[in-house]
Amino acid sequence: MSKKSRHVVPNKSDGWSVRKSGASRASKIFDTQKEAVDYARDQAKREKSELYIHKKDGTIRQKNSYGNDPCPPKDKK
Amino acid sequence: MSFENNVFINCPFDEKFYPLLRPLIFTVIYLGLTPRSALESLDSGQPRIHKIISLINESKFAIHDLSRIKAEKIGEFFRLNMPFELGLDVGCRSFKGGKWKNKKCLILEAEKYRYQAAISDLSNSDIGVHKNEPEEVVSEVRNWLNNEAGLNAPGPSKIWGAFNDFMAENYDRLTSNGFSNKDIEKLPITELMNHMKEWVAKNT
Repeated sequence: MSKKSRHVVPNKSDGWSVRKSGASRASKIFDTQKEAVDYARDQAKREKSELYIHKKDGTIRQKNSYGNDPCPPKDKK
Repeated sequence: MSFENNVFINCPFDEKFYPLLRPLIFTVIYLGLTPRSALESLDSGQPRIHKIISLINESKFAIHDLSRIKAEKIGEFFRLNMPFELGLDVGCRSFKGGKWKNKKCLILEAEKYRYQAAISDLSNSDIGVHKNEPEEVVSEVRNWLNNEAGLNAPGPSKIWGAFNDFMAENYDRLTSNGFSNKDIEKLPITELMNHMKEWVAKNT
C-alpha cells in the first residue's frame, strides 16, 4: 500500500487539486497553486506525511517531508 | 503474454512525448493488460519492422497515436512510422482472418479533425482526442479499453490519482538510488514499465 502523502496537482483545465494518496478524488480544489500548496502543507504537517508538488504530467517538481524521512528537504517557508 | 491481453503501443518514444506516454502506459498496466512495444527487445540484429509485425500479430489491442505526424518546422520531415504501423495493424485485421478479425484499435490525436488532412481514408473513424493533456490520455485510454476489452474499470480520476501516487513513489525510489531529476525525466521506458508493473502488483 502507498505510504501516507499529500499531492498537489495542476488540473487539466484551471486550478489546482490537493489529493491524499490512495484517494479516488481530490479532497479540495483551489484557484491558485499557492492556496493549494499552503493547504496541503498544513495537512501534511498535521499527518506527519510527505508533500509532493506535481507538474502537469505527473512528474515531481518539489517534495517536502514532514514525516520520518531521515534526510528531509528543507522547507523554505 | 496472451493475445487477448496484449496492447500494441504505436506512439513516439522520444522524450518530448514522455509526458503523454507515461500515463498511457500506466493506464494499460493498471487495467491489467500488457503494453507491447518495439522497445522491449533491444536486439540490434533483428530488423525493427520484423519486431513490429510480431507485436501486431501477438496483440488483440493497439493504440496508435497520430498526434506527432505533422512536421513542426520548415524543412523537417513529417513522421510516417505511426500511420504506417496503423496500416499494418488494420491490414492484419482485414486480411488474416481467424482471431485477428477481432483486433481492436484506438487512434489518438491532439485535435479532432486534424489527422484527416493527412489520412483522409480514416475520415469518419471514431478517434480519441487527448489535446496533449496527460490526464486526458488516461481518460481516453481507460474509456476505450473499458468498452472494447469488456472491463469493469475504475473511473479515470482514480487512475489519474494512482498514476500520481506511482510517480511520487518512483521519484523516491530513484532519488534514493542516485538518480538526479534529469535522470528521472529521461528514465528509459522499459525500466519505467517494470517499475509500473511492480507498483500496480503491490497497490491494486
